[in-house]
Amino acid sequence: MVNNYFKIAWRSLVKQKAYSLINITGLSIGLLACLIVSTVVIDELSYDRQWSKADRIYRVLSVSNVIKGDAPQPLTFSGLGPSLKRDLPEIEEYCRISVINSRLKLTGEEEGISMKVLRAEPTFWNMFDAKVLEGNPHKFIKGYTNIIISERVSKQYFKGKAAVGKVIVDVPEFGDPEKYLVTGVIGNLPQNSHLQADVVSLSEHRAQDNRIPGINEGYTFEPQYVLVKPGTNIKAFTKKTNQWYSANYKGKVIDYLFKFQPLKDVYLKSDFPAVQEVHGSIRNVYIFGVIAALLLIIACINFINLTVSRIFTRARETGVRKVLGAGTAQIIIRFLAESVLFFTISFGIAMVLYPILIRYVETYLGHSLVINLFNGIFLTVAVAVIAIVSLLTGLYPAWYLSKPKPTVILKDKIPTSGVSNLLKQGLIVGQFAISATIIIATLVVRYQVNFMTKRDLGFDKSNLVNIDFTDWGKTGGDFKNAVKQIPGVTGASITNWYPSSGSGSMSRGVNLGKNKVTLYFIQGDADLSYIMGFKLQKGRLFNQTSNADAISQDSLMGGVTDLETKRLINNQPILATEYTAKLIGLKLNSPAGKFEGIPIGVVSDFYSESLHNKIKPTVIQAIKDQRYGAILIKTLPGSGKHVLEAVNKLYKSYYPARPFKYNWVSDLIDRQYRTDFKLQQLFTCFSLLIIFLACIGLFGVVAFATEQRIKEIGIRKVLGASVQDIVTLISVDFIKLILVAFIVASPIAWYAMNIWLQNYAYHVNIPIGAFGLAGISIVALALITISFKSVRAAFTNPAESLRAE
Amino acid sequence: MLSLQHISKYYQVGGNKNYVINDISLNVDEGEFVSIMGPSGSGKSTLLNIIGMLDEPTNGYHYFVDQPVHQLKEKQRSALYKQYIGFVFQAYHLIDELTVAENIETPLIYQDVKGSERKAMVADMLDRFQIVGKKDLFPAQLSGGQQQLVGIARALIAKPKLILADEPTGNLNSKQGEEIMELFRKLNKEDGVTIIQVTHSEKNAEYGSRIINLLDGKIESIKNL
Repeated sequence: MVNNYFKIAWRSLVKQKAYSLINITGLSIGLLACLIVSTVVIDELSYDRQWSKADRIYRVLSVSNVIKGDAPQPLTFSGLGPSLKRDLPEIEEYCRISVINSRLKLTGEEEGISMKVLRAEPTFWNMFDAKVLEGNPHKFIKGYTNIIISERVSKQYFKGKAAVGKVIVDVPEFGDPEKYLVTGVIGNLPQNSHLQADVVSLSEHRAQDNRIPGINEGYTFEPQYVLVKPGTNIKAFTKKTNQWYSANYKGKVIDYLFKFQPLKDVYLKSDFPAVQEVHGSIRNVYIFGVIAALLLIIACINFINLTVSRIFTRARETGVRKVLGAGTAQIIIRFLAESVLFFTISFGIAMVLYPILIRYVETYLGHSLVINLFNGIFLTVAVAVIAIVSLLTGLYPAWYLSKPKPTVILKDKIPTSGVSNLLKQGLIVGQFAISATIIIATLVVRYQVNFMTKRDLGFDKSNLVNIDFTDWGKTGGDFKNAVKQIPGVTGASITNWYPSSGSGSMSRGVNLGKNKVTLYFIQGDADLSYIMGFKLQKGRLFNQTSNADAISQDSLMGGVTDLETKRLINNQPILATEYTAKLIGLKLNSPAGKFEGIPIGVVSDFYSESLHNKIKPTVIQAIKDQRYGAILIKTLPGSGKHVLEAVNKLYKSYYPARPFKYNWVSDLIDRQYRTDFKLQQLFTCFSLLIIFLACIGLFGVVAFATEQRIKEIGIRKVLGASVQDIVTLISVDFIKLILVAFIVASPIAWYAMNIWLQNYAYHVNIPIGAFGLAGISIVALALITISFKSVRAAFTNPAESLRAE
Repeated sequence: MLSLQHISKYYQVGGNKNYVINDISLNVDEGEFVSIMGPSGSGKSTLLNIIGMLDEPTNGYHYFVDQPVHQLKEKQRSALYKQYIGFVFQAYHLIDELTVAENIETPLIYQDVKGSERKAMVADMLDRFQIVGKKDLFPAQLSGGQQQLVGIARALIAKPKLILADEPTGNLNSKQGEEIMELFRKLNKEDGVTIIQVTHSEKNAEYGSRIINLLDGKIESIKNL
């Protein structure tokens, strides 16, 4: 019996080839897109859930209690973890972990191999797990930095030879090379973790890093993780921790509040791009979750519209079956079988294309997806969901097609009920409202990205190349002078700050009446303002010819005691941005008061960070004799390539042991908008997909309507209507629906995009043009879709359409 | 077998009642072969549909095998015609997606006849109509006469007491039409199946035992042969 239903379903599918092709195409695309997007969303949600103790691990966040509204940082001074463990019984373990990029000479490579190194301490294994393949990495060997390599590194670089017991060194950017003892090989660390790395290095901290620092002691900030004992209420524990801290350490060190961020939230719910390289965005997970659902909904609406539009050919069959004794239920099952068959075939096609497409998606995302359709229970869930959706989707058309009374077979005219027309119109409006919304959204994203990338940044980013932080030693000045001799170079500056590296190289809280603000200091040599092209508004820039305005970098390192240096710092010439000067009330050539230094000039505001963030109060200091820093080099247009070659050669002769790494500043700035570019591309892609699917659905409904009116069209033609008249007659009703859809979509899109734009400190106002463009394009696309059917109907010979009478 | 008493069917058009059937009373006994004739729009098909319970009269009494049809619910009516009536149509109304054998089998499926039994009954029917060789063909591959043969075979498969035929030869040429009418006569005489047919053709009407002429929804004349 069931077989019978599917046999018949298959035959009718084969019989109506064009209809089946359109329906299966739409459904396959919808299902495929939905599966792909779901995969990405599920993969994003899977981060850091695989560690066996993930539920009990938290990252410590610290918030300055001094500066109002200070954002939490995922960094804490080193001593917190050990002190917590010592004093609070809820803490089972702590670990200080950073993931950094290092160059390691694994098997003696000259420049080393760039690796992601997870730097942690021996307690790491008490919190995180990995499969041990060789050696005994859990046993820490004192006197060395232990390094544990992953299976992939072992296979690729050691080619099966025993690595355990070997000592390897790195190629450092600063200081002397470090030695590492290989103590084990472990299975690859999970890709879906914010702690992605190729190797794990373990070392013990110095004793002074294991306690809370005193008021005059220096301290380091680093990411810390804690493992709490089972059953710990984290809310209560957070309170307890802060009470413990203020009771014991208030007034002794900087005032902090601590928060504990669940490990499972670290990937998606963090906004610390400078500290945490691997991060996702919960906002995008929501956006794409909604898009996946919309794709499925639109595909289902199409299916309903296309199926229902077959009523003319199906009504007779229903009538005959009823006359032959079929009950409504049996007819519903017969049509449901057809729906299930359509879904099964479309799902099959989607499954074939899925692995091919997912590879492109991985390339696009830049990382492999740990979760995909073919592992775990995903496939089972997907099949179950699609089975349910296919039944639910099939139910309405099946019921609708089973409605005709047996008498329909005795008449030529198929009565169509008003309810269904309303529903069909509703579905069309729904689909096009979704399409219009996403088109408007795409355009707004485009406008915003354009706005951010075309904006005058307040400095000149062109022909500017940055060479990464280098340990200059005492030869930095010589190197800079040599660079300036290279033909094509118009200027160079050794600096602790460069565009996109942050708001400044140092920050400090400053009292402003009742409020505290964080002031950012950009420190570079006297040339920095010139080659950056900062626009002077008042006063003067630093003196380039003498180093009179600059003070020695060392003297700014803190702990200054001698009076002469103190005097120098207090009278240090500084530049302030327009915004800063106004905010703090700076006067040219008189001491700043709120902080050390005398303003000698005011420059126009510039975007030291991306336009996601508000401009910060910024002060520029001139320093000399830098031992560390980056170098910015300004070249003549078009001479970049040979300048770089020459600089590379020079760099190699000055610093043979250091890797030469450079970036064009314009690339660095573009990189800040990488996720925005990707969002724009994805939106473009999805809006094309959704509008395509919506057009397929519209096509089905237009086919239905023209068939319904074929007699009317014939009569009108006999009475002298032109082809154009007929096309207009058919189109005008649909265009009305599309306009209704657009009117429905506009406020939704406006509201949603307004929320989205709030993520950007500097953003466009929602452009009216986006609405106009979206409206025109959906009407145009709808007209083209309608014309496929309406033109043909208009050309039909009336003798044919009226013959049945 | 069936009895119609003061059956009317009309449509309300503005303030007027537009009668399709106007106060018809009619009795048909088991074993009769009735032909209904009349010009276009005289209400022949509507009358046949009312008899077949596919359509409802606006008022009047309708008894079928002693059941008061006018009082039955839709479900009970459909159970009734499922059991007793076979339909034959001018346009054959075979299901395009089904083969000859499957078309004939369909009514049995809806009467919950077991699979093996169905196969046997279909085989018998194919045999009887000498269309065994065509059993796996689809309707589109048959001539009009062959399709109508299949239509009749399908109407007969569930062993109905009454066959309702709406212009069964209307789409056929005269030779095919004659064959179909011969078949009807044989069914009526040899198997005792009651037949009511609507026809335009004087010649075909004469195969019946009684000819009812309709005009404007009323019985104009009855001729017993």
